[in-house]
Amino acid sequence: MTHASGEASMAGRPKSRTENRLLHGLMRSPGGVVGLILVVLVASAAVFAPWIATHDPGQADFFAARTPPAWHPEGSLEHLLGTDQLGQDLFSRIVYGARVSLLVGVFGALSAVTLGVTLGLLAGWFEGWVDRIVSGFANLLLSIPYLVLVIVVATVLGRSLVNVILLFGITSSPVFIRFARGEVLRMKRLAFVEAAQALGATPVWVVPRHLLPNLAGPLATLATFEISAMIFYEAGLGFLGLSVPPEVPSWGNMLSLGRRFLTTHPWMAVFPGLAIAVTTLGINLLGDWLRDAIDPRARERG
Amino acid sequence: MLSYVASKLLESLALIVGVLVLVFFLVRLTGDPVALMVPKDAPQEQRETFARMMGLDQPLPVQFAQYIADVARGDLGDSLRQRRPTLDIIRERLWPTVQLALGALAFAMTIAIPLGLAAGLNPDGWIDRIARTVGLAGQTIPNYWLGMLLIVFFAVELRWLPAFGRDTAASLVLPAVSLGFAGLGQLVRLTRSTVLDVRRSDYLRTARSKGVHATGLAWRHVLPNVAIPLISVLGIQFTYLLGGSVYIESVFAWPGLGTLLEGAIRDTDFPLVQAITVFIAFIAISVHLLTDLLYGWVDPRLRIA
Repeated sequence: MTHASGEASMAGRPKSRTENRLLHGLMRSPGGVVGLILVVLVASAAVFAPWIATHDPGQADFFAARTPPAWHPEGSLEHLLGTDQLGQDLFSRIVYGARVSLLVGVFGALSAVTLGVTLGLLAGWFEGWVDRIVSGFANLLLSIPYLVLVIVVATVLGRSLVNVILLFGITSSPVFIRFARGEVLRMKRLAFVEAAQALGATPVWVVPRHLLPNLAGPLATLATFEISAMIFYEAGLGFLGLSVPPEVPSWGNMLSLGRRFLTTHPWMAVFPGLAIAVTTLGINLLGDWLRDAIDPRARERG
Repeated sequence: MLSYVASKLLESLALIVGVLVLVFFLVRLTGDPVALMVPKDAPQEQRETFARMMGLDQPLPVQFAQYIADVARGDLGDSLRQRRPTLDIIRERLWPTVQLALGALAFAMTIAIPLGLAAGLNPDGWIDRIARTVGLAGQTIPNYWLGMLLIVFFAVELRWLPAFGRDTAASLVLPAVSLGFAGLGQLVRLTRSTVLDVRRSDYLRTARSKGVHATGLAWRHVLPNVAIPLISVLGIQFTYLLGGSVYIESVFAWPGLGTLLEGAIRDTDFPLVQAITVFIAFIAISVHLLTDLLYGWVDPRLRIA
C-alpha cells in the first residue's frame, strides 16, 4: 500500500488513497470477495423479488400444503424449497423475506448511526452535563441485556416495519454514542483541531469538516456489523411473534411458523434460518475486510 | 481501593434507578397503558375499574412515587393473570435460566479457551484455521436456528437427546450448546487475539531474549496475562446469555425466565413483563459490578482511573 501514490498518477483520475487501499484489500482477501458476492446476491433478491420469485409469496394452495423440497422423493419442481402448511411457496417467501431483513438492517443501522453519532458528538464536544445525560442514557440502555430490551420495547411499540426500524435505531445507538464521544474527546486535543479553533472556527465548522471525515471509516465498519446483528435480532423477534405483522413474508415470521412443524416438516424452519445465516455471514465477511482495509493493524487481531 | 469500590457501587445504584424509571415510563409511553393490558373489546366501565384497581387513574408522579416505594420494599407488583406477587413467580423460574446460562458458559469456555490459546500460539497453523472458522460460525449462525437444527438431528433423527422440556440432566445438553455457541465463537476470537497481543509485548521479548524456552514462555508469561481480559468478557457473556436464553428457552420449551417473559407478553401481563425486565437488568448490573470489582482487584492500574 506504499505505492498508492505511484498508481494514482498512472490512473486516469487521481484516486484517493483510501479507495486504492480498499480495492487492494479486496483483491487480497478471499473472505471479502465471498462476502461481497453473498451480499450482492441477497440484495438482488430483495430488489428484484417479483422477477426472481416463482410464486406470489402470499398465495395459498391447500392442495400443495407441506410439499417437501424438490430433491425429496415427494417433492416437485413446482416448489423448489417446498411449501408451508398453507401451501405458500417457501422459495418465493424467502426471496421476498430478504426485503424486510435488509430494510430493517440498513435503515435500522442508519438511524442508530444518526442518533448515536449526533448524541456522541454533542457529549464529547460539550462535556459537562450534556455528556453526563448522554452517557447516562447510553449506559442505561447497555445495562439491560440487549434482547430483553428489544423484546420489551417491541411489545410496547407494536408490530410494524417502521416501528421495528425505530426500535433498532434507538436500542443500538449506544455503540455509536460511545464511539463518537470517545473519538471527539481524543481529537479535540489534536493540533489540527486546536489550530482550526484558534483561527476562529466554530463547532458547526470544525465538527463536519475536521472530525466527521476521520470517523467515517471506523463508523462504516461498526455499522456493517450492526446491520448483520439487526438482521439476526429482527428474525429472532419475528420468531417470537414480535416483529412485522404475521402475513408479511419475513424470515423471522417463517421461522415462527416453521418451528411448529419442526419435528414433522423441518424444511419449513431450516431454509429461512439458512437465509439468515448466509446473509449475516456475507455481511460479516464484508465487515472484516472493511475493518482490515481501514485499519491494517486490526488484521492480526481478527 | 475503597474509593474505587464506592464509585462503582454508586454507578450501579444509579443504573438500577435508571432502569426503574425507563421501564416505568416505557409502559406508559403509548399514552394509554390500560389499552396494552385489557382486551380491545372490553367495555368502558371495565377499563375504568381496571385503571382504578391498578392505580392507573392517579396522576403520573403519584404512580411513580408509589412504584418506587413498592420496589424499595422488595415488591415488584402482582401478576395480572396469576394474581400473585411477580417476584414469587420469578423466583420459581430463576434457577432453570441460571442453570442454562452456566451450562452454556461451561460449554463455551471448555472449548474456546484451549482452542484460542492453541491458535494464538501457532498463528496460521491448521488449529488457527479451525479457530477462525469457529469464531466466524459463532458470529453468523443464529442460536435459535442452531437449536432447531440440533433438535431435528439429535432428537428427531438420532433420538439421542430429548428435544423439549427439562426432565433429565440430558435435557440440558442441546439448549446449553445452542446458547453457548455464539459465546464460544466470541471467546475463541478474544483468546486468540489476546495471545497474539501478549506475544508481541515488550516483556515477552525480554523473557525470550533471556533465553526462556517456548513452553516456559507459554505457561509462565502468556497464560497469566491472557486471563485478565477474559474476566471482563465472561461478565459480558453472562449478561448476553441471560438475554439470549429467551430465544433458546422458547425453542426448547425450557421453563425459565425467558419462556416466562414470552408467556407474559402473549398474555399482555404487563406487570409481570415489567418485573422480569427489572429483575434481569438487576442481575446484569450486579454481575457487571462484580466483574468491575474483580478487575480492579486483579489490575491495580484501574483503581486510580
